[in-house]
Parts: sequence; C-alpha cells; structure tokens
Amino acid sequence: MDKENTPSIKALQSGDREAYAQMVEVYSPKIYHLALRMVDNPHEAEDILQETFLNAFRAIDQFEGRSSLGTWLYRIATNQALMHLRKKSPTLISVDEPIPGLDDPDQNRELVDWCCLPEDEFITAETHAKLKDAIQDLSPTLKTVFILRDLHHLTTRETAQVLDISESAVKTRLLRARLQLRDSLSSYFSERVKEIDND
Amino acid sequence: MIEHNSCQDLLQGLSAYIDNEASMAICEEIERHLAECDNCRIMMDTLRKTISLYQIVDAADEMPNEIQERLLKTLTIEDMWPEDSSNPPVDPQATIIRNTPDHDEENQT
Repeated sequence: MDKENTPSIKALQSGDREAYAQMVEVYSPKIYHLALRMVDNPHEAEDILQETFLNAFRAIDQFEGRSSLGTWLYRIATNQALMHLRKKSPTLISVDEPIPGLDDPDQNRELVDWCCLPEDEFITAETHAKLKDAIQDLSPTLKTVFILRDLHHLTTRETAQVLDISESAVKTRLLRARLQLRDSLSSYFSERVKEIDND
Repeated sequence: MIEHNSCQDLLQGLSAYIDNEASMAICEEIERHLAECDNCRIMMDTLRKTISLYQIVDAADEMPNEIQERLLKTLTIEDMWPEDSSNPPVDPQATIIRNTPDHDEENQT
C-alpha cells in the first residue's frame, strides 16, 4: 500500500489541515475505485467515498495505529459498501455457493484454451461488459477479496486486516473468486474461439 | 504429493502458485503436473489471463477530478478543522445530501 505520501497520524489527530488534504489526495481515488467496483454505480460510489472520509475524520482520534492508515480507510469503505449492497439486496448469495471446477471435482469438463484469441478480442466494449457483469455476479464477500487483492494489490495480511478475517479465509475466498470469474469468462470466450474457428 | 486426486489438489494450490506464495516443493509438483495435464494447464493459463484482463481494464479507470472536488467541498476542510481542532465537525449527513449529484437532482424536483 502507498506509504510514501501518507500523512502522519499525529498530524491528523492534531487537526492539521494539510494532513487531512493529503489524506484525501492520496486515498480518495483508491476508495472511490473500490466503492465503484463494489456497487457498480457512480453515484453510490461517491456516497460511499464521502461517508468513508466523514467517518474517518470523525473517528481519527480513536485510530490507534494497529494497522496502516490505508488499511483503516479501506476497512471503513468496505463496511460502507457492504452496507449499501445489503440495503439493495438483503438476501445475499452465500460464500459457499458451489464454484464450478472447485466444488464439483467429478465433473468431467473439456476446457477450452481461450488465451490464444487475438488480443483485439480482449479489448472490445462487449468484453469489458462481460468482465463487469462477471465481477458483479460474485457474492459481496468474494468480490471484496478479489478487488482488494487483485485490483488494489493489498497483501493477504492487509486484506485480512481490512475484512477482519483470517489469512487462510482470504486465500480461500480469493481462489473461489478467481475461479468463478474464470468460469464466467470462459463461457463467453470459448464461444468466441468456436466462432473464429468456424470462420 | 499431488497424486490420486491430482487435478483437484492442483486447483487448491493454484492461487498460491500464481501469487508466488507456494513453497518450492509445491511449485515443482504443480509444474510437473502441468506438463502432463492439458486441462490443468488450460485452467492455469485462463486463470492468469482472467486476472490480467481485470487488471488491464482496471488500470484505465480513473476517478474524475470533480468527484474529489465535491469530496473536498463536503469535508469543507477550512470550516471543519479550524485552528481549534476540538471543535466538532458539521453535521456529516447534512453535508452528504448537499454535495452528491443525485441528491441534488432529488432536491430540485
């Protein structure tokens, strides 16, 4: 996580305005991005961003520095985003929802290698829409871990701190998230491989 | 050892292998298995491709400047933290409603 430009906790807790501005400068793009990926709605993401910083500013005196400032902000933002998702969809899919390939070992499926598709295939608007749909189909718990680990490059330990879960739970959820995404994209790209082969 | 249920075992260790977090012994076993099992090699390649596609698409996504401007306005740094920082911040909920665009639209109707 970005430590170079992080304002000092002491400065923040003493009410240093420059430190607050620096905190916004460094972390707001990351928090907004996290929120946008979580809720897939720019207005809601902006609400989450604002709620996160307001909550952080109000609670900065209680911040004990047991985790980094970034981890602490991610934690507030993640909780806000999960609350938004719960409001929208109170019955959420369980983290134990079967993942193709992982929970059905006896399923004898022939896998299609779609990595060989021309690079142009991966940058179309349709592909971007598929990527977006697939990530939104993940349960919030899997989606959060995937975003933090693979898109925000938090370590397993940092992700565990953000979500207040064990490192082994992070690893399990990350594997499940990645496999589910791979499976969703495979359905689409395998068809593209067939179409190209038939042309 | 990756033996009897080897494809399933490989799957369990795949994330750690991709993240370079697997032990050398496990890496060697996985690589031996991948050299012999087409399905697992495809699984590995497409899993890596999946992650990289998300990372490429994601890198191009930046927060519009006006969102940070609205955030700074919401936080009203100048007013929320005067020299005497013991002053409580303004009502945060009220501020949120004032500065997010969709709420503005609602207020205008």
